[in-house]
Amino acid sequence: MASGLISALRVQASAIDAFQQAIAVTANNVANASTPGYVSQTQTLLTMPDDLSVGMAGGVKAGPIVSSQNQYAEQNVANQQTALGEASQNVDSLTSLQSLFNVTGGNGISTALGNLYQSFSAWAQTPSDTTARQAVLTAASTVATAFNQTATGLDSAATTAQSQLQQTVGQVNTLLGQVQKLNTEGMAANGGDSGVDAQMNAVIQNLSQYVPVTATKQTDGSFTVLLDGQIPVAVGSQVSPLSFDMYQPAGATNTNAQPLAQVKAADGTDITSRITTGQLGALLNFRNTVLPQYIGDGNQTGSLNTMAQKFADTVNGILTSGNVSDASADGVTPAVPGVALFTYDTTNNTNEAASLSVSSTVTASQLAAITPGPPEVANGVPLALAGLENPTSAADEINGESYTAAYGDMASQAGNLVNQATEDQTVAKSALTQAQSLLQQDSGVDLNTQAALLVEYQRSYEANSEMVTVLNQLLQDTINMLEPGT
Amino acid sequence: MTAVDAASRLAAARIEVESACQSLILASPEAMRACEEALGRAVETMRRGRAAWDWKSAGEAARSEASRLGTALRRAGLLIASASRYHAGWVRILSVLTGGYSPRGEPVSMPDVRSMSIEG
Repeated sequence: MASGLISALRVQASAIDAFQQAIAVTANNVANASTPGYVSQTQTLLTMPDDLSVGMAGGVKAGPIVSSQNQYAEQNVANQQTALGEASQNVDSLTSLQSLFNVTGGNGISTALGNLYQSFSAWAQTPSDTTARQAVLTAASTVATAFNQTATGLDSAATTAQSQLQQTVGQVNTLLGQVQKLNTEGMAANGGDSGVDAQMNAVIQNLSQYVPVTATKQTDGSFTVLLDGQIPVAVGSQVSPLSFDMYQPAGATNTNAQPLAQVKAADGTDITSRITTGQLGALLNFRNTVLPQYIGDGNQTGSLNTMAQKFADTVNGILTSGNVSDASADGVTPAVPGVALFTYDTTNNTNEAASLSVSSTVTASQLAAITPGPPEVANGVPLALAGLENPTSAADEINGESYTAAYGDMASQAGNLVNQATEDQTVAKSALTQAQSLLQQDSGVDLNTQAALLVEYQRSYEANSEMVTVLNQLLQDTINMLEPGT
Repeated sequence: MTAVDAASRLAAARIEVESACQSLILASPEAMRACEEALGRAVETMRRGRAAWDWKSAGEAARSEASRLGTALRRAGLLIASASRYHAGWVRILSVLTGGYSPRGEPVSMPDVRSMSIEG
């Protein structure tokens, strides 16, 4: 009967979690011993005589099973700690990023661009008016400052992330030191001590917030701790601390760009790519992937720099194609061409947004208003500049849209990341509480009861999954009907 | 069916799904039964009188509620998956602990014993 139950459970479980197949095919591989969830056979069941005096119909002694279940449940909690650590760090980092992209307040790039376009329009109404020209210079300066402040804020976020990475690696190493101490105590107790084990579990849970680890208790009482299921960081009385530094990737074309962060194992191996979850994984992703999308790195310019450079070049191009004054009719006095309004660091394309400024030599009277044509238009330049707000040609667009819209996309991307991270954090908190609940529930339950419960759980998961699927379909139908114009 | 009706119907379904999420966090057999009941009520709420609803006039409030319901459903789905994964993993380990692996690397069925229990 029990065999049938367990076999049935296994079949049902296989349908839900294909992961089992992946682990099964390499079960006899020695390397598999470090795969999370791998266990070796430790218990052979033997039928025991009924002992009605104690109310037990047959049975086996199975201490290792209870121990394995506790370890399995503890590992499940640790995994959820890692997911929550990652989600919480993402919320913190991305919220600071979002605050730099202000699209609704009275300052920021979006507002500054809007004011500059307005100043171009006003100048087009009175192309010779000095006040209108001066207003253009002031508004242009505000745009440059807004780019500078956003770039500085992003640089500051990068510096903060770097500092947090340093601290987090330090905290990981401190906790590994505690693992080392407890391992020594556990081994001295000849196979372990429940008090030491409890302390170890608490340390592992703490460590799991920062990095993905798996901990397996050994027969000598120590715990082997693997990072990402592969990299040994604590074995017996030995620990392998992590280290952190910044580096410029090989073959980087932007050699003046901010360097990237990397984490190394004790032997000097770069293990950055192995740490994708936990607080450390979230910080590495934020520092090495999210921020460079905006401010660039050795191999990319960054969207904020691209926007600053392209906007400056476009405005400068329109202004320098115009004339401040016409040539004299007799041709003796030549036309006076316009000058560029913006300057930026042309030696470092990851510094364009931070260095954008209004040229210190440009004056209001040097702003060209006339497009020479033919036909000549006295306010052609300010009209063309005002037209950048709603561009009609690809040359005046960035990524197929206006500068204001492109900036809005950047801001909304940051906002979406925060929303996703916040939702992930909510789910991770619930999943952690669930894992802690499962840890409490399953401890010490006899095998017959457990088998019945597992069948009940499995039936319930399938029923609930089916209902969620039905609800999702009903919701999707509803959303389709709610869409205007459908 | 007014816009308020559509939004409140969606809100009622969402409240049931959120209640199911609370049960999924506990993940005890009793809580799982409560979860099923809550999700069943949510399905019934969404289906009831559905054909007669005038969703098109439902407006922004209903769209907003639909979005919230979607978030609650994703959360419920993830919690079902995490609990299911946990127990499926334990079943596999239990099979291996008691039966070992087959030559193909699959967990071997437990021996046919009439009854079992655990001490320790």
